[in-house]
Amino acid sequence: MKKIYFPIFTVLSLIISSCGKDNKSSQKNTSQEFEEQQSHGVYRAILRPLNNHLSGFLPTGKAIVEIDKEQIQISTHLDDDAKVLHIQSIQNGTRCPSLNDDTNQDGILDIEEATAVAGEVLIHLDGSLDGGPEGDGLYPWGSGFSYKKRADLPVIENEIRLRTKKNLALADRVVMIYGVSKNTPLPETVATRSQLPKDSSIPVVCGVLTKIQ
Amino acid sequence: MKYFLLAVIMMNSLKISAESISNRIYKIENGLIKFENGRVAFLKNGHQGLKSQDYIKGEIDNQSNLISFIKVNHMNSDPVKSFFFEENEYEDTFEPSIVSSLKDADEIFSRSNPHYKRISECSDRAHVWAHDEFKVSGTKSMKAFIFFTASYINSVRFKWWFHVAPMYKVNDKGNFKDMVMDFRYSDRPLTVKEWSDQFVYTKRPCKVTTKFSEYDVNPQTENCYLIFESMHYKIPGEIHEKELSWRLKTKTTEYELKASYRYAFDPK
Repeated sequence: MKKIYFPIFTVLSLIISSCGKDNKSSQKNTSQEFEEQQSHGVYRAILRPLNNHLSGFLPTGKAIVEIDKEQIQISTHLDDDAKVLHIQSIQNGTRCPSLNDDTNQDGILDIEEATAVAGEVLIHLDGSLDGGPEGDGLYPWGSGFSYKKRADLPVIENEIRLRTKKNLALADRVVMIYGVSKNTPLPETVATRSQLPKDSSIPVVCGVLTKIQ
Repeated sequence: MKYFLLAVIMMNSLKISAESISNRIYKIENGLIKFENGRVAFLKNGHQGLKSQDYIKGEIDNQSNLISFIKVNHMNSDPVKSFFFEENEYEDTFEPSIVSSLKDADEIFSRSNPHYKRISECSDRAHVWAHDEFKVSGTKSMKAFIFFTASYINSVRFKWWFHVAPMYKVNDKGNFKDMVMDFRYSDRPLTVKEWSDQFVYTKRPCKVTTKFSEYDVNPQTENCYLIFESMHYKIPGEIHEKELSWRLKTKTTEYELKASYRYAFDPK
């Protein structure tokens, strides 16, 4: 399957992952830090539509995470009709947001409202899973894209440990993909982050990872 | 740098994108084409010589406008689309099973085969999910068909004219509820209203009917119609055939199921 990547600079990814971070709450969780997690295995998330009323199309997809010894492989695919940039990430919440989480009640679940439920970014699903410079900030572009990346597990674990003070634990984590058509009318009330165009930061699918093997 | 980034995003957003379609036209209505697989496309310049039953290969832009097409001779009808009516089956004896609790309904939902293909039709997925469950537990289910009117499709540029999913009758502590299990689009069993709200953005309730013709010749005053049929019905044409001939679809053949499986699912 053809993969199309689109450049976004690392700084944006880092801003997305750090914006809205609640330092107080992370300090409260120090007793839970570095708890051992059994991450090895295969995890799957069925990605289901969010904000589909904006386009009349119901995007769907899947995400598979395979961890075997010292390697992690993450694959996603999306079936959408908007050929746009699709920022995607694994986030550290445990449930997908819904329109019930549309706190400003403008009828659109924006990135701030979604992140309040789905959590901040744990792993950016870009061209560089391990956060290295090559491929960093390169996200898929297209409607029916398939994405697959492999990385050294210890590198990712270290990066996550440094950034979040927690070990990698994938069960019940949330996979989100963002990006609607540029032609989508969006009101002023829709929030975005890091100067991203609003249409690039609207969540379109979400799923929760469950261990299947 | 960020402004450069935004500029690049905007430039790429302007790229023309198109979706390929290869399907038979079910009907042309109010400036839109309804394809047999449920997809719709809008016609900007009249009928362009197209009519019902034409098989076309074409491209649809991201606003669902048909931007190019060629008519194709497609003599072989899709075997899945064939009807499987038993002779002299004029009496409806189908009774759906009662699922004994919402917890059991959740378990049925979680057993749904997740290995559906990206490009697959809802009718095939629903058929396989319903019959897989019947094979596992003997539970007989219904199918919930939702039909969107041309006026609704036009008003929100909706991309489909019908959709179908398995539906189970569930005993929720003495209250019997119809729960739709649309594994691809929802993360749990939904009431019929919750399910239809996913597609009907006005949240207006769909009119429940037993006759496909009521939808087919509707005066465009509704957003949508609902028809509930037994698990054996797969596509709208079968519901229409039932109304026209009074013959019922009372079973599903293994051949039909295998075809649906092949079209819609990857081998596990």
